[in-house]
Amino acid sequence: MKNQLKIEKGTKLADIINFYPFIITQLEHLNISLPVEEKNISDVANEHKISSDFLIFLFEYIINNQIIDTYVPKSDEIDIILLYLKNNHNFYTKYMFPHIEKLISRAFESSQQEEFLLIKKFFVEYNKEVLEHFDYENSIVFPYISELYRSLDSNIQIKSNYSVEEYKNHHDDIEEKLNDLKNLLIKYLPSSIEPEFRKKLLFNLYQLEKDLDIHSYLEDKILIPLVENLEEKYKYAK
Amino acid sequence: MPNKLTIKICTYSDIIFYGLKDILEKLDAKIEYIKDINFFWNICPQTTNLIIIDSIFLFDKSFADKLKKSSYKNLFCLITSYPPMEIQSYFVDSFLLTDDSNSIISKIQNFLTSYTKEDSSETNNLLSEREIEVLKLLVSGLQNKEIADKLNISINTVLTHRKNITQKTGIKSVSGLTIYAVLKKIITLKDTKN
Repeated sequence: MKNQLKIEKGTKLADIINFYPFIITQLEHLNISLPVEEKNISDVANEHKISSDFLIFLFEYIINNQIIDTYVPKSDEIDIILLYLKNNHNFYTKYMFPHIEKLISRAFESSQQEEFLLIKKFFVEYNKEVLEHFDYENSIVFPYISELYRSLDSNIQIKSNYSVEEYKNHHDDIEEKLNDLKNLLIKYLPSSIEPEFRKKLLFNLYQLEKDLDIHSYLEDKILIPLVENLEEKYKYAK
Repeated sequence: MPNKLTIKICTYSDIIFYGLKDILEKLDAKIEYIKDINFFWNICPQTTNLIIIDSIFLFDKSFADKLKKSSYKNLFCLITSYPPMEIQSYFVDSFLLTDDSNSIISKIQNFLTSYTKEDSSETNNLLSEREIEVLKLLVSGLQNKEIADKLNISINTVLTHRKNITQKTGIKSVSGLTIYAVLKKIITLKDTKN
């Protein structure tokens, strides 16, 4: 059995980072930055006005691959969830995707092999699909959710006719193409391709895949049920 | 691949053909004479191990162009007159009129050993013939219904083939499968540019 970390309110951030360094990216998405001194999960939660339960839930999923069934998100956690997802989107758009595209372009420059043009085209198309999805979320879904949440507080009528049902249907499987690319790199792209390039690209794709997995999980299992709940309350309040 | 070695010699000259045939006696091969270049395209490359072409034919530009595009991998050139172009991209290897029998034989034997190896590694053992047919149509932009019509099978059958292709290769999207098809030489890079 793989080692698991005990994650509780009193667990120090430094210990978490030492155990699973890649958590640093996720902390950035939550606007939690290093150095962390002796702070534990409780301290950080208070500092950033989020619940320890949410942090524990998130870390358990990412680090221990555990799903805490008993976690029920509260309405006032919507802001932190939306913040996380928006930062997530920015990270992909501004850093990950351009970085990977550059890797592919550079590999083609040095080797002049035509296979790279195909891979680049494939990745550009994939990129476009994902960005459209993010754009849809940023410009339609998230504002709707924010508005819904605030309207319950202040009894203001919601302007849009949007419902979370539409969002559920729009949530396509963008992981499929990412998986295809990985398999092509691992199984079929010929050995004449520079190994250093293949390795770097694969590692980047694995990180992207892990990030997207957390992203989808938060949206499907946390955000959508929360919003459905809010919509019910809204109808009831009217 | 045929059981008996098959070599085709394309030349105008009886002297060259019978001379070469005599030299190649040692290989115990079936040796055929192609005198008329127009019949060249009736040769089935899959059943011929080696095709030797007299360089004089390269002066026919349309033949030379077609030969270059053919991407046959089992061509040797017999240089009887200096060819009008760089022949490396057309032929695997070449002979000169001054080459002696032994070097001609060993050149051919070396080629035959490496050719059979290369041939089997390029053969797609993973997908069935039918699956390859479906794959070709899929990456050329056809929808499931169009593929079903073209191959005279039901849509369900097409979907089953697609499912099997994905299961075997690990690749699901059409663009991913296009790259797979190019890498496995099921289609060419030029085919993708439409």
